[in-house]
Amino acid sequence: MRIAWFSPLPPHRSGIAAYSSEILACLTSHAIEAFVDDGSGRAAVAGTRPIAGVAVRGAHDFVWRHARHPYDLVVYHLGNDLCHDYMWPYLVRYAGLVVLHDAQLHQSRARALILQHRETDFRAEFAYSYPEAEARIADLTVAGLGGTLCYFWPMVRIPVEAARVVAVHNAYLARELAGEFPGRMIRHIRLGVPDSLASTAASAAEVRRRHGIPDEAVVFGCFGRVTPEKGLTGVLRALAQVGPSVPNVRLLVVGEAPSYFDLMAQARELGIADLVVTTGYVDEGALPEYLAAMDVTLNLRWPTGRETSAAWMRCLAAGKPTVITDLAHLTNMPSLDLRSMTVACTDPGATEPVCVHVELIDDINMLRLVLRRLTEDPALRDRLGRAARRYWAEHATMTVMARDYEAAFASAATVPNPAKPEAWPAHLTADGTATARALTAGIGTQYPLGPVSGAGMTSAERP
Amino acid sequence: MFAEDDIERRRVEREAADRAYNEALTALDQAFPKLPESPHPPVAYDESQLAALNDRWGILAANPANHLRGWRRRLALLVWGLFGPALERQQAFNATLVDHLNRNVDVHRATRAGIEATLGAVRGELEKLETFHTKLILYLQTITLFVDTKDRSEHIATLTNLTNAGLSGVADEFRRRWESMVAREQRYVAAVDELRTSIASVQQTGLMLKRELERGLAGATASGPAPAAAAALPASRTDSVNAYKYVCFENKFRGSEADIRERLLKYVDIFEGASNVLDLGCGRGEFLALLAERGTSAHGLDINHEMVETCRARGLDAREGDAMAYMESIPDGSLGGLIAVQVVEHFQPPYLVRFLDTAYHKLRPGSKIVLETLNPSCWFAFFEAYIRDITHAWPLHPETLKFLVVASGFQRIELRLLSPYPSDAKLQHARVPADAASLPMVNLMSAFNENVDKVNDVMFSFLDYVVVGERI
Repeated sequence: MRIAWFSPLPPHRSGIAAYSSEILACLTSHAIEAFVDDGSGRAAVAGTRPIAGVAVRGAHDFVWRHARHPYDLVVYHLGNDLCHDYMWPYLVRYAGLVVLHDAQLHQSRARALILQHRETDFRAEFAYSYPEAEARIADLTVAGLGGTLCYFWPMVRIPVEAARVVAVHNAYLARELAGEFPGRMIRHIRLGVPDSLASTAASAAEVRRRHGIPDEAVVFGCFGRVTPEKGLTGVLRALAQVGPSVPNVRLLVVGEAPSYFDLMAQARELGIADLVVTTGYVDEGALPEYLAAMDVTLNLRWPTGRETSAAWMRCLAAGKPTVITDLAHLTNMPSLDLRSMTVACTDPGATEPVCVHVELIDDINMLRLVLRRLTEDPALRDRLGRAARRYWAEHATMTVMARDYEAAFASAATVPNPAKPEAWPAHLTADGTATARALTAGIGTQYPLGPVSGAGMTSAERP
Repeated sequence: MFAEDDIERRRVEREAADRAYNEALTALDQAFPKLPESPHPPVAYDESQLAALNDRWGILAANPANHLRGWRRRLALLVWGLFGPALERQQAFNATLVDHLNRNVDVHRATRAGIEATLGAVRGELEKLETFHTKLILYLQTITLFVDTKDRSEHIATLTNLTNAGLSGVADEFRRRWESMVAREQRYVAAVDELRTSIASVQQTGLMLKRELERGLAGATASGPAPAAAAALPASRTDSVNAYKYVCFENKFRGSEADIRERLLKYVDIFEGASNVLDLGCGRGEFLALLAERGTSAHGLDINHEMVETCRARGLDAREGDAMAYMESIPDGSLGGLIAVQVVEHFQPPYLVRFLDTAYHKLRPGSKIVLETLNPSCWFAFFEAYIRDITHAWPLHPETLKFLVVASGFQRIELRLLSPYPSDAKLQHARVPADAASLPMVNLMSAFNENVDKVNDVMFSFLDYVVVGERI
């Protein structure tokens, strides 16, 4: 199958870029061309890290290449980040497989349109997505006052309606979207990650030495950009409360922090700075040894866009006991409730916990239990780690994901393009002649051609 | 807390600035003195005698002798000679004086007019200055209102931000609670499904007991013959195949010992911390050995003498016998776990039902039952594996076995599909060559591929499955 693949790619630092490069390496039976954002110039294409068997091109090249030799399928990787904005003009015009990594696009779509001074278009998209909602809610976002309220209106309707098939990485979300958008084809692709059990104990010990962590310490760690969403403020508060009773515990935070979030300042304020180690940005290649240096990984996340965390899957693959936030879309995962030492799962028969969960409404108490119990009970850590590894081997390998992708490709390649809803905001269906008409009107001439269906786009939508 | 501190700090700053401003305004107001009464111009030049002086300065008429004759003339000349010069000097003086006075009248008038004009101008400027000062004070008083209202709008912006932060916080709290509730609901719904099945089973059992009781009462009343004894147990696998032949069969089709060990490894954790686990149909003892390595006490039971001997030769505790006969011989609640891998498909349905009921009573609360068997809902498994073994008595659909386990009283039932059929061995999708793509062809291929998926789903899905239950 000849596939056009829209996604950020390394060296872009987004998780989806790393994800794409990993799965592309497993889909070698297809002729895949990756289209990256070249809005800031061709250097973005030249700087993309090569992936064997995949041609990398600028998104601007897609239209003429597709016109000359149509692709069998276009795949869009959409998430709630500005780095995905460049693919919107294409996904609303060239229907394909939309892999929705976040079921929450409000913030990124708003930001992208507002940066282009297209507040009116944003309001129109909001009004279309939520015809029953008060239209002035969009004004809150435009005024920069959206905050948490944005999560009430995720704004995924347009990409779902534009797609032949939508794929998501958890079954709960697939069910929810199928219920919300009846008649749309929603598929669940299981999220896979490569085996991350490669690092040796020696490198783990080296990491500990480098950061002054005693050998006997029980290290709770987390990866990724250090933002409030990672729930670390709660972890610090819990750590401050249990620290004196479990002196061996250490918190290792791997990743860069934005200027507005100073974790160490919080740790100092709570008097536990000596228990916390932050590394700042760590090169991707060094992450396995940091993972190996951890005894337990914290994969907390709030608020959620119903994403399935690849970072978490990597920890499971590494056979680490993991701690997650108890979110609706993760309830199919057998998880241990440390308050009652029972296994919580939508499958009541699940007996073997794969991870430990922390309820949002009892987080500090449960985090205290997590820190104390997992520090003092190496047998439980070991049991959770083995279950995690088994779960990964059964459900979350690259092979599993590639198999699901193949099925999704087969399905999406044969599904006809969906009809564009008539009520779509005008800027999404513009025929692309508006600029030409404006130019010719300026010199007293009428644009001679009628609308050419799907042949182009407005100046505002031009990527 | 932050907001309250911030508001208090802003209030104190605001009051200090207000005080300083008012003091400066008062000082400015007082700095400009009240305008003094302006000096008057000098009185006007007194010209009242000027006309008289001009009339009278000439004291001499023409020479008096000119009009006289004679002695009078001589006398007049004499007298004029005596007094005439003095009088002429006097008149000259008068003339000079009057002339002087006449000449200075304009100067005096101009001087006065100048002074008067200067005083008027000075007064005018002072009045303008006073007006400016008044307007300045008014301006500063007005700007106070302006600053106040501007401050109010900044205050409104601050309040807006605070309100937004508060609203965002409330929304976040709401969503946290909502998310937790939804997560709990997901699990409760699943648990309710299981409870429904259990309740249905209890109801069914109740009805059956009622029916049996009524039948018994009716029989007693009629004094008829006693009800027939329970149906005889089905033939066990020893009845059908000689023991040694089955060992050979197992060796040929079941897989090597290492393979079986690998396959059974996933069940070891289920019995973590358990004791006295029964491995029913223990075969060559692969699972018993795995449990022994973990320090979990266990024993095996197999109806095949050769198998039991193989286990014993490895130092494992294995017993020979029929499952039901053994189960009925041990005390209730004596088992810490039960596993039967590829066994239950050898049981006839009535035997299986009795076995599950008995197992429930023989297991301790909190212990697990693990039943792995072939998956006959996968056609490949049924035709290639199930019917290959002539000792298989009854194919068990996964949902059927799950139901029976629930109906026997077990809870927290987990049904796990195992041994996925290899993807590359499944029926494959047809692909349309790009140069042959047309809408009818695409539709045809789409229908074909959907059928491929459907056939794969029933023929080549999962070869085995396991049902895990817990004795609560």
